[in-house]
Amino acid sequence: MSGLSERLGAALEFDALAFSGDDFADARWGSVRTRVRRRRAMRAAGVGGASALGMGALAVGVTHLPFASLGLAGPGSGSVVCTTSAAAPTAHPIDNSKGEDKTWLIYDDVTGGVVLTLTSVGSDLVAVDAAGAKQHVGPNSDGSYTVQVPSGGTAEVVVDGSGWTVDWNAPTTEPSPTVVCATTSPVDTPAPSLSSSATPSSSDHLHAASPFQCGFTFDSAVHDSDGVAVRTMKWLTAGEANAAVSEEYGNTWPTDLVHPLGPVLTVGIGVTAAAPDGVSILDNGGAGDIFDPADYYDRHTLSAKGYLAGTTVVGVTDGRVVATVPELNESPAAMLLWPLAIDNYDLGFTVLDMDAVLVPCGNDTTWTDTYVVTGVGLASGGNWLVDPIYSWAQIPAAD
Amino acid sequence: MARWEPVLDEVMRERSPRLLAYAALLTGDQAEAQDVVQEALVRSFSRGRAFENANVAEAYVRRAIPSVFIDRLRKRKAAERAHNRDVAIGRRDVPTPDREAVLDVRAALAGLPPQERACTVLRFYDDLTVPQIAREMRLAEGTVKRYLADASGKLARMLGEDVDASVEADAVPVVTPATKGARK
Repeated sequence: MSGLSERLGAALEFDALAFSGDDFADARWGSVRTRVRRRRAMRAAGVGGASALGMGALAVGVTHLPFASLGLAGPGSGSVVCTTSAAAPTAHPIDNSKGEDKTWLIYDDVTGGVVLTLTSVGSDLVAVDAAGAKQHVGPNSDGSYTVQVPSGGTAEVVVDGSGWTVDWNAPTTEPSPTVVCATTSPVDTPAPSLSSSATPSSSDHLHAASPFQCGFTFDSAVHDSDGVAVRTMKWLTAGEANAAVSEEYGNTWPTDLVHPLGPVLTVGIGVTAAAPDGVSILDNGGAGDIFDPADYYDRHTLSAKGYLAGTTVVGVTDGRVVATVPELNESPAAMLLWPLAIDNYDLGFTVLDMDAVLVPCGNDTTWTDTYVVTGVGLASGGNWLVDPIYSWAQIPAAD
Repeated sequence: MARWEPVLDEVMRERSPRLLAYAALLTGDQAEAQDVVQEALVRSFSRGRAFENANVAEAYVRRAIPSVFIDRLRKRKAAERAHNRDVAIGRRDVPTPDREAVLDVRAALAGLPPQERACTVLRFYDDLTVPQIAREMRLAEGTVKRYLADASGKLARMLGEDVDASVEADAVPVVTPATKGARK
């Protein structure tokens, strides 16, 4: 078409004049840098690569697991029950793109939901989160304000005559809940009322045991559900991991990462579950974490539609979970979750030091095997649109 | 500071206007263009490459932009949206070319369904061949030709010009045959 190429070129040149690189950088630099840092660290620690062990084809055909019989709390038997305290949702970048007069809205860059509503009141700032909780914040010495972002990190807010500037300071580690495990007595243990479905229904998911939990018994080394799968497990030697990270960071080891002394494991998870409308549940936005999606859901009042995905490692003896990862390490981190799509995986993590992250459920302080477990569900308005489904795979021994 | 960070900063501050403008051609929306460029930056700088300078990095980011845009399309029920937009365009009453009314090529592009818009930009701005576009968009070559053909017809009506989507001997010209000259 005559002139179309030229017109497109002219349009681009014209439009380019209207964009400010500084504005774009000021607004997005922090988010981009944080995500790049994390991804590069993960790649350096062994994400992807041709030597990855493909696990996707190892499905064993188990589509329905008898949760009642495989779970924790059989009547008349003592068991260890782990409860998870409320945790902040997985940190998301925020976007401060809208505001007017004395009010400014901060959006979650992933879900698009309003994270905070900021209002200038006199010399103070009032921040109201989605649940209605208020922070009344006074000015810092430099006149800025520091508000806690519910999804993680803090936001530095500067208000001046020309408008608002909000910089998000991402948390250095994923927000983590606290898990408390307690041994229940046989008398106190309620009789189970679960169906024998591998995917707890909306009515029973509150009590369903899952491979994320202490006491769960695996009936196979690999279970590959239709919808979520452990697709890759890869071991690097400590030397390989150190070399890879050093290549990225030079001679200075990143202070927020544990320096691995033993093999480093990287895991990639694939999510193919579809929402009732046939679209991938990932298209609805959501959260990824190391927790059982059912448990995560229970601990949060989630009104928005979104997926919940979890993956972690567990220590196993005789097919039974005897150790879990109750929380991600404080800095320096020995386990890193990467909830963003990397190398075609939808979720994944790297364990720099397995011994540092696994915590015994009870008195058994050793375990013979380790498993990767994962689960995903789609929630909306307090109900499950797609009940949580789970997969797992025994981790092969490191060479 | 890691070695890539100064390059990232330079690309974002000095090169992003053109990257954003390019993304805006694809998306037809400036806000979405920013999201697309941001994602392209993350993808490009996460690959572990040691960009020698901002020129090299900018080229990588620019190359990633269509891919990011297409991925986003797929994740957003692209087919539905394309259909809806297509229907809207079908109702548009443009009986005769009115250059004064439709000279804005951006508006014309924005009126195309996303897949057609992407094919058009890749073909007519990036000068990619049909096979190259097919690889870029992970589509069959025939599909690309169809998108280009459909787009050319609509652009011809909106811009009041003959549009030829033919790019190679085996391409299917539509609307009015007219050979497109090499893009400068």
